Amino acid sequence: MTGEASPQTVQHEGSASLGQCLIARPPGGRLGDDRGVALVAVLAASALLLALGLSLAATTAVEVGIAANHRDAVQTVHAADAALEFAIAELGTVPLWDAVLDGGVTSWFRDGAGAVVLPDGSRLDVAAETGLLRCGAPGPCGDADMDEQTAERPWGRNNPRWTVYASGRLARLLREAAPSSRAYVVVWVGDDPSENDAQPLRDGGPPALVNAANPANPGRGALWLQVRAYGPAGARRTLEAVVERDARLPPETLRIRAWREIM
Amino acid sequence: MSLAELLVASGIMLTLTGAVGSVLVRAQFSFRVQPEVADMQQRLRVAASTFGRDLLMAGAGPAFTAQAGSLVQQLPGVAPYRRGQIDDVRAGVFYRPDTVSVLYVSTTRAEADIERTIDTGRELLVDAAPNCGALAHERVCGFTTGMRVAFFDARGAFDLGTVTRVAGNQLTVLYGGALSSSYNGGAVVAEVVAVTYYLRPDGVSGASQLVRYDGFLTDRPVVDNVVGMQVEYFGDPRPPRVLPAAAPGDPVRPITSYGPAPPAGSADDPRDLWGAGENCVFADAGGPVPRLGALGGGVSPVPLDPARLRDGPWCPDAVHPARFDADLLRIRRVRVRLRVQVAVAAMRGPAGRLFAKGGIATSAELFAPDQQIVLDVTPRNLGGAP
Repeated sequence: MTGEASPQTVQHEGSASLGQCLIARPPGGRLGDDRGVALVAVLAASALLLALGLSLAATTAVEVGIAANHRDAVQTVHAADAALEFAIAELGTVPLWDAVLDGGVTSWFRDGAGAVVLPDGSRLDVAAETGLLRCGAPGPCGDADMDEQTAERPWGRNNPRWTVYASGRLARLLREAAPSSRAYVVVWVGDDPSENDAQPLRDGGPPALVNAANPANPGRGALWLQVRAYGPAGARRTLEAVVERDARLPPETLRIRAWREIM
Repeated sequence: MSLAELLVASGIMLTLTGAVGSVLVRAQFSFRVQPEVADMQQRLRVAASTFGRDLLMAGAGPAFTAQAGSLVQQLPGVAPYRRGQIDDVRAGVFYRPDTVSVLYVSTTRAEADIERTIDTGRELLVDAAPNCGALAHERVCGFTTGMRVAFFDARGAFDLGTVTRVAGNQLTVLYGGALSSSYNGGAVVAEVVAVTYYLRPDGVSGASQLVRYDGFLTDRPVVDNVVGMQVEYFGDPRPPRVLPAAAPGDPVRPITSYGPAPPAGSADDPRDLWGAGENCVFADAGGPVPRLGALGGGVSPVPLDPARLRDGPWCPDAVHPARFDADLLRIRRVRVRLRVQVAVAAMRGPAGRLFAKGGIATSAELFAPDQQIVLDVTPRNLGGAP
């Protein structure tokens, strides 16, 4: 090819060392000029190490994330359970639950906040959550909405009218100076649906319709609770429990009739 | 550059390269081993989550039927053998150290008292008592086709089935095999979760799989490469007792601290072999006397000897096809030890303390020892009466 010399071997004379001998000289290149080689080597090594480091960091981050999510989920369940235990203990001291059902009596542990910033930075509208429980829609519910029979709420006028009994950050409930939990918890109470008095704000009224299937009101002295804990990274856990009074138990003690975690 | 300089430079370079290479080789070991270690931990998390959730709810009973309350009043929420349509009891097995079954009513919507049933030989036609209505209870709600339900009665008999038809207040329930009992007035039908966790040998890995049996026909693997599972039970040391009668007009509440209530007024239940006024947990000696003794003087749960869980007394009685040891009604806490191994045999060394099953690893740097969790669960519904 014209104008291009083929690589050639240059033999240095005199005191040329072995290292300077037999060096392939690129066409048009400058023999022995190795400036910039170190930069290339360093860049190559850095790229390799960077790739390794990023790979390791990514793997580690995923594993740390998985472990953290698991921890948050477990902590959030226990936060809900703690709030439930607290509410049960406090409700045992309330002689008449009618005032609890209509919202007249609430826990000291109720911050009354309408909107709350959760640990993951999202906002919680407690009223909207209450609306979803009461009538399946966020926001205020009318009587007809709450009495509607649906698959979730098939008891018509005996549907529970969920009302907030307690709410707040668990750390406040635990009175921790250095909070070990960042969860926010809400406890709702409602009349238990075995009642047949068509008075969802009253515990154990006379049956609305006395017949063979409803000779008496079997729901007296029972209360339905739902507790939801909102933890970090979007963790949400909901528990429900039905508690009952029993005159044979020690004073202010309630029995847990059923305890479940709701998906 | 002189020859000496070149040799020195080459030596330094070789040394450094060797050192870096050695580090990189070890790093490569770590890169190979650590994801497998993370995988073991992740499998244990899955097991803990799945197990933990089911165990936590074990024993939850219906909340709004005549027999409302924990299942501990009738039958065990936790048992050390497989339960369901394919069960161990019919094969005469009442204890397996690596098996635990859990039973609970999963929702408050699908539960109803049974008024009467007709057994067609393959299906049970169930007339259910109303459990919902616009003003009062006037119809049956909550049950849907395909739903898994259980029937159980106050004696502790129970069977599982699948709802195949819902028409008004009547449910048609398909059951497998034969029913262990008849269910008429006083029994309950409710949607349930009835699962069994057990180890199943895995021909591929040579280890075992943790499997979740759904109580019907499906065994679904949960975790692979399990090399050990041991379940321990802790129970109420106090014998069952009959609680004082509720005052007239008071709502219906549990009759016993745990276990089925004895027949009222020394009556005889013709469905079992026990004498008049007796059942599997109470004898009649001028009044109900517990058949189960005290296990020490305390009230905190004590370890239950496996032999105690399969020696009777039997509920509902010793010939019932779905009988269970009455001591299972004591269970208040469950401890599960689960051990998993790394899936790659090249990361397992010789069998011993680190490895339950040996592998082919030749270098300790490639070892990924077995990992184990110990899960202590106190099911919230097994508290019994204070």
